[in-house]
Amino acid sequence: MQLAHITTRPPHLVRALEALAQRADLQEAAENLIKELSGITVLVARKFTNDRTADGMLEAFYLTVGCVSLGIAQAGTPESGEANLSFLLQHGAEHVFQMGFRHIKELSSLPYLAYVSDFDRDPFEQQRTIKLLFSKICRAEPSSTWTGEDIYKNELLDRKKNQKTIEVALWLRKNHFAGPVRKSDLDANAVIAIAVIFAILGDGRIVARTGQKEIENMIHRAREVRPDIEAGWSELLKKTPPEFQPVLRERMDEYRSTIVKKILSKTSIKKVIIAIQESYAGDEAEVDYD
Amino acid sequence: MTDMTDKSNYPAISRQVTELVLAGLTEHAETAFNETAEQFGDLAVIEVLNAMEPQVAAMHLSAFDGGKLSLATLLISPKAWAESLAFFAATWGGNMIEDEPEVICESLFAHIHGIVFSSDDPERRALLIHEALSTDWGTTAFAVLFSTATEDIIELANDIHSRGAHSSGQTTSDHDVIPLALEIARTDADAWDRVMFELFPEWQPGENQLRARDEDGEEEHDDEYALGRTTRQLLIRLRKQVPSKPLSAPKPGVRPSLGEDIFA
Repeated sequence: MQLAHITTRPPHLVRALEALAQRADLQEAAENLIKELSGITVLVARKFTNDRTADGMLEAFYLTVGCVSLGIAQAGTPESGEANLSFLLQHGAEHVFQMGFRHIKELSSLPYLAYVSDFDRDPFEQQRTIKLLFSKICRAEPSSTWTGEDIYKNELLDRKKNQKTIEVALWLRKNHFAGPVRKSDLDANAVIAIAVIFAILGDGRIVARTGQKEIENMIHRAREVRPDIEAGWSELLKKTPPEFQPVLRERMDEYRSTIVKKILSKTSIKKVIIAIQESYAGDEAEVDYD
Repeated sequence: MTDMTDKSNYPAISRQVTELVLAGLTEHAETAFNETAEQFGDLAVIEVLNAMEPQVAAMHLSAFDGGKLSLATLLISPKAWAESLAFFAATWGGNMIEDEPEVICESLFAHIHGIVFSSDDPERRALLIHEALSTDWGTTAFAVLFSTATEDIIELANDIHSRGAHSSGQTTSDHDVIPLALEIARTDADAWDRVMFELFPEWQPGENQLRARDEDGEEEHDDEYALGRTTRQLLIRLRKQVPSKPLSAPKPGVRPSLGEDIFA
């Protein structure tokens, strides 16, 4: 029987310290490091956990280990304890912690969902998000495996994708056929869905926001004229800046055999409208008739 | 015999004693001093004390007062003692000053009196007084002691003002601080003036009269009199002078700390 292959990877800071223990002239470097690291731990406890309880200090210690490790991990140094150590000593623990914390702040400034609301701009909420990500990614117990770096990488990819989606949606809103849509809340996936679905008509309009009546009309018209869907879509793509096209293409591939098929099928119009409203148009379609 | 050429051990001894003091092992630290004295002579102990951080020296000295004698009390250099005085008030909480000023005054008196009068050598006494009263905190510390007997000090001060320090001293008072005050006035006139101005900041000799502040409440301000600071005011002044950072400069080559900017 083949056992699963597991590599244990202690936090980068621990690996660096293990390398330090192998050095001959470690006294001074070790003293400086311990001073810096304990100083950081106190500041972290004061800001995020609790510097008056043993539990608070211990949590702050874990967070310090993880955040310094994230700073080392994201600096692109080779995967060795010795390289990690050189980097740590060259910059000092405080600066490396600062690098790690900046990664967290950068991550927190990217959208968690492809959705924009006033809530995100609330400074209190922003602080809460930083704290949440900081504890989720940077909590590293020195004696066990630390997965924070992987969580960070995945989270970063997700959020960059959300950011892109929002950019595309904002562009579509700006180019809405009836003039730019001005609303503070934005459901980016819904905006893209509406634009892609309405583009099957091939009438050259960019639709970024809609209502129940319009959806109904669109379905009627599509069933009446049986438009060339690919032509309509390539017309939309031609108007779109190249950097946004992949997002739209991906959506077209997804819809070709799902909702678009349904629009053109004999399914009752009411059911199709409900499907569009519930699964595609989200918050970007008015439910009421005017 | 003492080997004065071998000074290479002193830093190690200083470090060892520092660790013992910080661990609260006063007796062991004292033993280390005694062994150093036996092995290398008294001058070695002086060197070791000089090399210790003033706050550590203060901690060690404060464990001794009139009751117990320490080799450190006898041997600490006047300059090192003056610096260690800055940290004497470090452990006083705000409540201690409010609740039991007598207790801290007494321990401060026992300490200062113990150091100054531990030696029969008048030169050492003069130097101790001179160094301590060359510092702001030392001046405040002595003023605290005198503020516990303001009336007696006024009598003595007036006496000294009219007859000179050396023919004074026949006061009606038998307060403990009087011998200390006389010692200052006789050995160091400038130091005496400094501590008097610390106690009576509004005093203009010849222009106004010294007067103890009535403990009961605020008195009307009168230009004729220079009112003394109260013990409580002086204790707070002394507490505020405790350095919040070590006096020694950071080691060269060590990066300055980012502080809160690590989150920036």
